[in-house]
Amino acid sequence: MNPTLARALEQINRIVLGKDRQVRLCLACLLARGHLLIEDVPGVGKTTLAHALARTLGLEFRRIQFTSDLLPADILGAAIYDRDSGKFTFHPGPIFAQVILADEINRASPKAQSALLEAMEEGQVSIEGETRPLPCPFFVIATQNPGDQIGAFPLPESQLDRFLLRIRLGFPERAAERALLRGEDRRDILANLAPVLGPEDFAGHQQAVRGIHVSDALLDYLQALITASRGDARFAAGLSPRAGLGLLRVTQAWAFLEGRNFAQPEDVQAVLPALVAHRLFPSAGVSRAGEDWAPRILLEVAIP
Amino acid sequence: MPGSPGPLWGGTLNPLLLQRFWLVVPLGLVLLPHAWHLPAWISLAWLGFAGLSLRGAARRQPPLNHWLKWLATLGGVGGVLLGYGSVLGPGGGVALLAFLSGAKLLELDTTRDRAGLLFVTLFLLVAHFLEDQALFTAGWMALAGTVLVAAFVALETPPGQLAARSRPNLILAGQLMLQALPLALLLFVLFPRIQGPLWGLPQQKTAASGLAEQMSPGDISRLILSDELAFRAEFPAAQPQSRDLYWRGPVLWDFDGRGWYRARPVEPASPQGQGLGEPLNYTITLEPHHQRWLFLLGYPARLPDQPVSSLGPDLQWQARDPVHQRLRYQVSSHPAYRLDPVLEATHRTRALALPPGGNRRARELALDLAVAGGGDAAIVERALSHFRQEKFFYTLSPPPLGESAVDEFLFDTRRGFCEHYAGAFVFLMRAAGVPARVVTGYQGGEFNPYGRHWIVRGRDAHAWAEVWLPQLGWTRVDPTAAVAPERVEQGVNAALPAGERLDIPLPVAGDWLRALDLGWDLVNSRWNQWVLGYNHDRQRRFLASLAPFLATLQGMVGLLTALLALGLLVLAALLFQRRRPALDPAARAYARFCARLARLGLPRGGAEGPTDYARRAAAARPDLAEPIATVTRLYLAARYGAAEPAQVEALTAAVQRFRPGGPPQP
Repeated sequence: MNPTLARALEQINRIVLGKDRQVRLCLACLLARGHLLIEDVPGVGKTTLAHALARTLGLEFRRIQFTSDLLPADILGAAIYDRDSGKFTFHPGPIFAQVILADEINRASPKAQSALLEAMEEGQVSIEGETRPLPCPFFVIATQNPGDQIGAFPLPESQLDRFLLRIRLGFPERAAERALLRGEDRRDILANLAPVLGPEDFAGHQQAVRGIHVSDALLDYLQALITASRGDARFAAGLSPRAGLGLLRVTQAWAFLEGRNFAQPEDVQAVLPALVAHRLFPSAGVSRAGEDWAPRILLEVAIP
Repeated sequence: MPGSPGPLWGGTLNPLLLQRFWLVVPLGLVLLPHAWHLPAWISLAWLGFAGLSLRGAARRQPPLNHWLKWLATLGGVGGVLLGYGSVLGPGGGVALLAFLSGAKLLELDTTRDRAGLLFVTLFLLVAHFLEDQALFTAGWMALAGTVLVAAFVALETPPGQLAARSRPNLILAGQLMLQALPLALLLFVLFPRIQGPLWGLPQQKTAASGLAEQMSPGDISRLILSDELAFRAEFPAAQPQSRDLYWRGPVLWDFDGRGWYRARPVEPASPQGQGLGEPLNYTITLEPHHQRWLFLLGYPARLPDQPVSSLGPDLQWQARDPVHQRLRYQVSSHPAYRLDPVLEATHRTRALALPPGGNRRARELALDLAVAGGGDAAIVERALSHFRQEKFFYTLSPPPLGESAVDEFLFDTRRGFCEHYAGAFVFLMRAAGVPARVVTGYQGGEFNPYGRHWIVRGRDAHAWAEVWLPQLGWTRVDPTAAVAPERVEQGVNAALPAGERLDIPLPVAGDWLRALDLGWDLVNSRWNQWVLGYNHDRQRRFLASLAPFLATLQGMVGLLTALLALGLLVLAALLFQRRRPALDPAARAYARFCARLARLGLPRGGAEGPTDYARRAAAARPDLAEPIATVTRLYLAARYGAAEPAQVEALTAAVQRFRPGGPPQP
């Protein structure tokens, strides 16, 4: 693996303990230019992980706490009358940053949610008739509480589809938790964290991910998986073409993180569960625990 | 059908209700024709159960109490036991199943319940053929069967998708049925028709229909009202005239003052006579009438071997066993003939016998006819002109007759039907000293120009007289024809007065309704002939005409097995070919490598990636770790990397070298 990336991973793993796989998925997601959704109960380190990612990668970082009374202007910014100059001056909102941590995104009203999601899709925002580009790279790391909690506006399927991966952190293992309890305060570590690579480095890595070789045999496998998801009566709907494209990109990113210049089936299998978790829903009448078995079902597809 | 589609399509769709519909509707379709044979309480109970079941699903009610289910079951068993005396056999068994299938609608909580119910429905579907094998039934069964197959598909469809999948499911079921058709045809032709009580359909005892062994005034006019098919007849050569078609049935010799009947057999056992002119060939397909009569035109030249039958001296032809199944036989007979040129003394006595006393006026009339002289033929002629000249009416609703039926008919009412005329005429002949007897049977029929066959129905039933004349022997005389000549020319409807016409169309050319009717008759005739008539003998004969060895049980089973095996092989080959696209060289080499590892007890899982597999295999066989790693590395590079021919060659060579043998080394 690229030595700077290896160091970056190692640094993040020092802060978020025992979540090597999730950290790697986050990195792959960002390398594949995708937005990330972290879903879990409060207090397992979602925000810490997002913070550590931004710091380590040397990216500008802002956090937006979503609440039920958050307005689109609170995210995008607004033009305010300046008495001195007698003009309206635009005051950019927190969205004009390279990494946005949208905390508890499902607590905001759909109106505020869609303001963010539009920015995610277009890479630019339109305010007062003027289109303003967002910085590059631009990532959204959104966290949300499980949908069945009180006071949540669950994201509709169409908007969930805009997140490339969805991961869950889960509680730490016993040893990791002991290290956490023994160790320094996470906030102190974060404050002292030095970036491992600069923004130019990261853009270069993203370019390299695009160049990872994908053979016809691998595309056969990808298509077999997508077809299986579409024909399976247990899912309400199969994977969309956007999801298929995303699967390809994140597979390449995973292969890149593995230090290979071509992608192989194991790469697909490694990223697949996080890719389908928020896209495949059990059809009505099938057990609600669908998100647990959906990835497993796709892994039943034979590698051609 | 219970329930209406109203709550289903309007408003919110309840998947549970839709799922329930997919059980109730197929079951209802299958049971609908059973409803004719089942007691009304079962049909009503079924409708009640279906309604409750749908209501329960619509309101998402919890399952029913166990005690209520027990109560319903016991009630049904008790009711069937009371009604049929048994819960087994085609009557009680089907009734019980029909009832319980309804009760089961209240207990459909698990997939197992639903699948079980559908299998019972499948059995009920087949049980129809115990009652009826007509073409219409078969068509209905095909329809209900298709819906039932769709229900089986629906069983595997998530309830949430049922609304969208209902039509595709039905289409799929139709495709499945069509795909099954070749197999069904093969089984139909080749599956051995084994004779015996175990294999044959059980004989349902049904009321005898058609002509009876006796004839009282009113018997035949009741028969005339029936549209029921008696038999069909085909003449391969020239078509005869309707007026010449006197199909002989029971011959009645004895009179008890009111009705005609056959008190005892007529001796000797075989007819004395000869046919005149060219014989007529024809084939008769006789509908089961549960009696022994077989029908014949004139004097037989050759009678068929099957069925086993006997021909009386009066040309009354009877099968040994009652006709419970549709019968097809070929006859050759002479329309013109001379029967009994010399009349036996016992026959003469019996053909002249009348009960003592009664019908005084008729006897006087007979005496008048006789004293005029001129021989027996002249007496017959005078009697016929009496019928022609006096005001006699041909009617289906004659006034009721009292004690002296013949007198009242001849002199008071003068309204009657063929049985009145034939009976009165024979009475007159006997009283005048001319030997005579009554013959019943059918006269004429309807010609179906599409199938070129004659349709003889209940309404063609007829009675006529036979008198014995010196030299000529027994001669047919039809007094009805003297009164209403249209009867024998155009059929019974034309002869009836306008107010009494039966509800059937008169033969009018160009009537499309009639054409449809005759077309349907033709289809039915072919169905009977080719499908239902394909019995043990016909199967043997047909197969023997293909190849003699096929006409044995072994031959049939052998060919059937061979063809089925061949079909499965072809199918398997087709599926296999579709499954396995051509592999590229790297994949082929890797497949060989995997096969070699599989022989060591390490098969690769279908979804197992090469690296994962290599890791697992190496862990199991550390001695092979190095070659396994090499092959895997080369394979990944060749198949998933930017492949170069050299890499594929290296892989092939590495696989070639990889020849692990023997048990794992320590």
